[in-house]
Amino acid sequence: MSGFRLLDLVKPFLPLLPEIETPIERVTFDDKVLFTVSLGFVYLLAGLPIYGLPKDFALESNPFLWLTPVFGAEPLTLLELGLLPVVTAGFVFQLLAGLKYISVNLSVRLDRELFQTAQKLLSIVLSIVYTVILLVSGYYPPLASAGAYAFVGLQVAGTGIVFTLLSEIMDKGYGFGSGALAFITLNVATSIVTDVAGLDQVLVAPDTYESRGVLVHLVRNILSSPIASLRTVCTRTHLANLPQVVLALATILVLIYFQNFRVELPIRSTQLRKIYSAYPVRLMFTGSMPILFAYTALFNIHLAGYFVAAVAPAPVATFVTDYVLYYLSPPPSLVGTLVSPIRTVVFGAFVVLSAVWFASVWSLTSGSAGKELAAEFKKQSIALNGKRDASVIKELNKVILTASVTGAALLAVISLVTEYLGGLGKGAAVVIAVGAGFVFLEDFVSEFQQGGTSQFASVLGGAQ
Amino acid sequence: MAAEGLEKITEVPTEFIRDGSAFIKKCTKPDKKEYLKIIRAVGVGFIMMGVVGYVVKLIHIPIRYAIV
Repeated sequence: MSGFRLLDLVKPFLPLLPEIETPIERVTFDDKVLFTVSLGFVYLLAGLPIYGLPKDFALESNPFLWLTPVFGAEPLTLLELGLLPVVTAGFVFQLLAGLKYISVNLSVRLDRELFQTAQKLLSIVLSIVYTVILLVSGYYPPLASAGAYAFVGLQVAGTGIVFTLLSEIMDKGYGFGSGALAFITLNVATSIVTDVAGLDQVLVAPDTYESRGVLVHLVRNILSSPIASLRTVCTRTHLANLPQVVLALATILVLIYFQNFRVELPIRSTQLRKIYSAYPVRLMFTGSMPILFAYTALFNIHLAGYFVAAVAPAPVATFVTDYVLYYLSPPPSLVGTLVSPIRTVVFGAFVVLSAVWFASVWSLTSGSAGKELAAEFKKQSIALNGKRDASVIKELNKVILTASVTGAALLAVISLVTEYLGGLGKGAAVVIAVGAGFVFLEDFVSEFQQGGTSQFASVLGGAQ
Repeated sequence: MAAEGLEKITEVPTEFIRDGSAFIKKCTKPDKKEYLKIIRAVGVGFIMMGVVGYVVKLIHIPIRYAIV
């Protein structure tokens, strides 16, 4: 029972940490829409620059740039860390429980509370640790005083903590789907729309303005200088270019196609004769979680490596930057992919293996694994065609494991293809956003159908 | 011995790929109608979120000038 004590360590913090109360009644559809929309607004408003950094400061090369889209983070804004602390803490505890390092019975109220509090505590601690790493390692420019550093740190860590709580609001059923994933999806959707149709002009060189959106820039200049504008749109690197946008849109289409692959298990009713039906098990059983896990691991390794490189003596620092961090990051472009094959292979292997490993752990521990599903079948008097009761669990587990592992590998390959073509993390972010979008959509539709008398529902119903 | 070891190492991925592709082959794939329907649903959702997000980002521009 040593594992149990680990969770009990959190007990003193229980009254100290702010907690979102679980809704007492069912939250209505309209309220859910309101909560989701307003939390989305808060997230978007947090994309403001950090106050106190020198004006016109820009990072010359941001080592985390390719990781930020995956976590809805935006460098040099309050969203410096994005949802990284929340997501990391979530994965740590899911894995600890899944691999039985801590014993927790989530159907017991106190256990569940302790588990959630521990997760929240870790998320808060991580927000602070990550911020300290950035401050100590010289990520920010030299500031005037220790007070100025503290002020910047307070903003970054503070936003991380606030989003820990905002995600909890969504997770506890006030909104649709999962909080962290909703924010990430919102960030990805915003960046895609901006890249395609952003109307605002950006100063890219003295006296030269370019439209943020690829399509807008093309339409605006196609008549006056067709060839020059086409060339700019295809090759520019300071703003999104046409190939990147096409790549992102193509990824979405491919993902939606695979999202609906499923194996239909033949089922029959045990009470009524000759009632046959099919129970679908999705290929993407674990959704995009395995990819998010792989990138969470990568971001944490890179933050730790960044810290080591800044404080460790020279030989260690060079080893970390030149080998560990180099091989565990995607090549910056298609040329880079071809020029450094070892990096391509090592990075690819890391993503695929960690995604597949996570999928295999997750599918057997999360709520809908074979055992629970079999119990559910029994309750609804459903039987798998041609299977006896005893072998149902085994059969379901087998199908679910194969589905989630194959799905994870497939998603990993898709995100790797986009990385190799120079997606800079945007491809992986799209993979996660589409997966999260589907969960969101399903939640939305099922709530909508149960919604009954809803004002939004009547408006939406008219539009359908 | 060495060859045997190598065989073991390659056996796991090959088996994995074989099982995986067999599973994918067995899958019911979405037909064209279903696919287009989902694309529309997901697309509308993404565009709605994205446009709202972009508009809020536009509000940022004057705020940035005001506070920096």
